[in-house]
Amino acid sequence: MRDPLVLTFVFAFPIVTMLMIGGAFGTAPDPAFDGVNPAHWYVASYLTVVIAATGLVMLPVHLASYRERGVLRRFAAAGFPRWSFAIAELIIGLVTVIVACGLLLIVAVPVYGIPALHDWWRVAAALPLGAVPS
Amino acid sequence: MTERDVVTVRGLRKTYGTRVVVDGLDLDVRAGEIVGLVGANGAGKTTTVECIQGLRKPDAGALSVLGYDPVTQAEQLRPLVGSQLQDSALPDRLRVSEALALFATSRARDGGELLERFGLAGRRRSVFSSLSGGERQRLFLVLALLNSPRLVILDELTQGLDPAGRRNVWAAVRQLHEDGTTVLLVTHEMDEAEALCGRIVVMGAGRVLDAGTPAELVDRHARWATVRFSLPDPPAPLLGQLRQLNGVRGVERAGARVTVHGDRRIIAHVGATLVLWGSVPDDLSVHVPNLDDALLSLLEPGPAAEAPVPASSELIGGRR
Repeated sequence: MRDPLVLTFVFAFPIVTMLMIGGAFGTAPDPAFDGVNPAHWYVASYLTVVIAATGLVMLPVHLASYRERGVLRRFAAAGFPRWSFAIAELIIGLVTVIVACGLLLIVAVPVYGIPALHDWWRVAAALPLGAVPS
Repeated sequence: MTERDVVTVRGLRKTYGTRVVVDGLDLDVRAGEIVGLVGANGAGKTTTVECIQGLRKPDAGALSVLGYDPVTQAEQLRPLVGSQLQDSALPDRLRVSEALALFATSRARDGGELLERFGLAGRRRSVFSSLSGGERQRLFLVLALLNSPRLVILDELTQGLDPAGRRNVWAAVRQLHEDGTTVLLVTHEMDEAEALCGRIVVMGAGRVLDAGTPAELVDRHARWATVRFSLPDPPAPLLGQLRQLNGVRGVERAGARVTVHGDRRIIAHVGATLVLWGSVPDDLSVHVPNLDDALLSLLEPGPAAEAPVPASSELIGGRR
């Protein structure tokens, strides 16, 4: 949370882009979006942007930078098992995804009126299952 | 291996691709010693200490550190070893106080006292990226000492520190020694090695070139002293007498400038001779061989290191 890169790409970028794209396409159901409100379509899409920003920007940049700067070596020399760092980063990534998705929905609900979920447990399972591989 | 052996290395070999970095190295560090590992860049010093810490797997050789094999028993060994690594870092946004909490084990001493001692007490809330180079080095030293280790490995200890910071850190290392902690110090700074180490191991091309106390290394590899002074028209009998002094290897004259080369005894002999002649120059200077000279002689063996007699002036004699 102290990293400007994370704040920008994981928290701010998806919300700002969602508002811009949602504003451009409007909220009237559109046949080009299978008759769905385009804003709802884009809210769902930008949840995946959060996952991608975490998995493809935040974690790789952190891990590469830690390796290059000797942070991993510093931890290894102090007795931290190498796997513990990977597990910690994975947990941080998952928590970040959940918090960032929550923020995105908090902004989206009053603006676009997001419909209620039909299948809670599938969404709850799909989010981490989608996030972990990325 | 005896109870006093903290580090025992036999036949250590490590290669990176086709490049042999450490080649059959033997090393012993006994309890309570401060041992310096010195040598040119690329001599294999850092790789050696990384193998000792279990951060690299040797290609061949036997290692024992505090009775543990650093490769197969790294988990048991690492809590007993404090290390300050060359070119390492912490996450940029980690605060100093958080680093202390993260690295502290059940053996940890008072981190606040260590921060106070190394001038970091006011930086507790600072993130790592905001620390200066010297502050980072001191923080690494604090982390290395935090868990009361039995062996401390310090790689380029005072890199980036100002003179006051260096003295402060040296005092801390001496205190460690007095507390009975064993220290393995990797350094390029010969004054640091001379000031701190009871024994120095000189490495070159992955091997041990020589080892001994600083005085022994100087005696073996840099015995020669130089005395320089100026006298208007130095009399030939005086120069002849200087040539005959015990320990003199050569006397040069370039105009009014006279240079006498020889072993360390010549310093007293030349001074006494000049006083007896009633010619006391006001610009007499002495170069006493030190560990720097010894290291140069070891790493670059040749006539220049062996006998410091410049070629650009008139050599007027001396005994070899």
